[in-house]
Amino acid sequence: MLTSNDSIKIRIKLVAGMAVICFCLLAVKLYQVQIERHEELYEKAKKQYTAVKTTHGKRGEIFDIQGNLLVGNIPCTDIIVDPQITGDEPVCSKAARIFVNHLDMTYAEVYSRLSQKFRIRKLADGKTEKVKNRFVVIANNVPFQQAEELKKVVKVNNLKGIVFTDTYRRFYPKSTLLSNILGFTTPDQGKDVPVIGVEKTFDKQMESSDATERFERARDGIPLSYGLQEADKVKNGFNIYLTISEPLQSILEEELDSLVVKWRPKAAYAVMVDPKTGNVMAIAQRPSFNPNDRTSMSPDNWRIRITEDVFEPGSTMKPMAISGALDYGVITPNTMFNCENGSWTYAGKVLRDSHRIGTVPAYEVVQKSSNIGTAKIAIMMGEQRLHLVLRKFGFGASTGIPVTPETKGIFRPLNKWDALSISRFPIGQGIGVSPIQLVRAYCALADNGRLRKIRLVDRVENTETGVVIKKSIEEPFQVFNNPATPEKIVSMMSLVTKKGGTATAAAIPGFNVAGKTGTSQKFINGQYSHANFFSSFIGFVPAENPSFVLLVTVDEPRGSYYGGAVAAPYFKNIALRALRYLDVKPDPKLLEEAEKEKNSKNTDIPQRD
Amino acid sequence: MNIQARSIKLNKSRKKNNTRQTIGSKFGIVFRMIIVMAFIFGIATLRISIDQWATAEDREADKLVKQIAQLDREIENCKLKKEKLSSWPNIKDRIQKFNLALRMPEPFQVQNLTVNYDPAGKEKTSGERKTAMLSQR
Repeated sequence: MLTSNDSIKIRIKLVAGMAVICFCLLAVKLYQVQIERHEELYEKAKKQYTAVKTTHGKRGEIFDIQGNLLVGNIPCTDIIVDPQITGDEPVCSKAARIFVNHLDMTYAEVYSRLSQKFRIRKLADGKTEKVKNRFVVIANNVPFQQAEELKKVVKVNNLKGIVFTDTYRRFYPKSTLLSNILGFTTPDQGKDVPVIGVEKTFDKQMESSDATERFERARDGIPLSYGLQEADKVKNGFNIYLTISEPLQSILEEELDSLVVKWRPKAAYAVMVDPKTGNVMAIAQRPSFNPNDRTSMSPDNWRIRITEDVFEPGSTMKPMAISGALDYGVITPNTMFNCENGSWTYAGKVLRDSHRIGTVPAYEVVQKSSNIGTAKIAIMMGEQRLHLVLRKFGFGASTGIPVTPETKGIFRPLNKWDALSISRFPIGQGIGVSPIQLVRAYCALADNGRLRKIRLVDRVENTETGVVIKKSIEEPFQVFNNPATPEKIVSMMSLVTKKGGTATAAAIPGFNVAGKTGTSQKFINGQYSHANFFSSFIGFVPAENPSFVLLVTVDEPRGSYYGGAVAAPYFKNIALRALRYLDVKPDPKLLEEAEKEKNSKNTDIPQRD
Repeated sequence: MNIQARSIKLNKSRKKNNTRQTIGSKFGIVFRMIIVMAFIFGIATLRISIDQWATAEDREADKLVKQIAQLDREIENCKLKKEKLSSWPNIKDRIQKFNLALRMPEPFQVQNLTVNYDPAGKEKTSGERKTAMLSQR
């Protein structure tokens, strides 16, 4: 029989045993929690008090040479909601009404997004399941001011579950100005993906990187100073400074717009380059687009015709061929040529002039733009020399402009020339050039035969260190062997805009303008069209010390097609305004001469090719 | 024998001293423990108050950082607005809208202001040129 002492002992042992068992169970649990599931639970806990913040770097901006902003990043906001927190139907309805007042959205659109508590998710096996919806975008890229007002209203009305995420959007403050060269980006998963233009070529320099910051936070989300903190460094893109001058660009585009209104062409281009540096001062084309308005965008509008398109330069090619003949000593400006009264057969094909000319000196061949005279000069020079001269002027090669794609044009190698080539290539037929190639060749004529690479970017700025890297001007290539050649050809070209020339409409009172008209038939379906033309005028002013080379080309003008009538007047308008802006003073002697000429009211030959 | 008697006496007196020392040392230990605990408490309180102060400062700093970011965004917005408004197409539109009688200046009416400006301050170069493009009729 058990005594009371025994019973107590047993109870004590039982309780002690139970305690030991409990302790063992606790120890097992502790082992599981602390050792086995340590990583999992530690991560879970860490997630609760660790926050991750992403800071977006800013893409580099684009400026003109004087520091006027051409492309920037405008602050905007993405509005995101968590439908699980937004509240029930009346709250959603109230929130929707608030959003509608501030955003360009309908009530139904906003309400459906706010009240979208669940969504259907497709599983790998094809089945679907209903899951809680915790992330709905109400609107992206809401303008800064609009978003700020909305933030205040949301706060006042104490609406829950609405998150405003600050972002930046690429913005082009000058809208269509220089849009084809600047290009544009398209947003893709929070990144700006460049499509074309400077945006694409200099993407590596301009691109930014995001930074993530991990920190231990307090209940209200504020980082704890004594907690863990890890942060990457955000990288902002480099700023690009172009060689473009915004005021000159504005002049160029304004005049190009009036040209388009008058001649209603399929396309038009204008390029202004400083021949002494190769700097592009202004460059424009029509059609164009507004990069801020996606509806105006189509590949036909945004492709860069100035570097991408090839056209037959027509008579604008003549000065290069004739300068070659002058340089080799084959001719002098006074060498006489029989221009056959406007019609001459060579290699079985008839070559015509736009107006009848008899025997004239070489300078008049340029002034009156004789195809026959130029062909005869080229024949005197010979195929090899002509080929070499045109190559030296950069035809068939890229210009160095940092914009892609860039065509090298169409210029056949010497072994593929036929019997007609020598009579057609010097008058700009059978040869394809891009507008920028033609401008580069004229820059060489304007700068004493020095052929330079075309520059579009002046300097690159590291936004973090402030270091500015200036893009160097490369040494030019000398086209001519005879130092007297540039002066001779320039004086011949100056006659084009004088009385008796083909482009008196390009003459600027008080200035010597050297240039050349060009009218080329378009090659359509294997033959030259008699209805579709390219009309051009290219020149430089003042001829003796040029401030710029300017090309105006009109693709399929309506009403007239001669370069002297269509393009030359706009050359004059642009050049006159540009000279005034650049503060290039007119020569009083020339100004007086122009005044006298104006008073004499002499008639010129018709403004033709 | 004398030596032994002395030794017994010595032991007795030592025993009495030990009892007194035990009470004293116990107080001493408690006192020291109190001191140590007060020190630890003080350190902990100091640490907590420093943390609290740091958190308050963090909050203030965070608020300021947010304010700066907000101001930066406002500046950026204003900068772009200014660029948009000062562009020639916009000015031209305004001239047409308000029917302003403006025309190109004659060359003798134009005065150019050339400022020697170099942001790095290393070398003076001919700098920005601002030209009045229009003059009132």
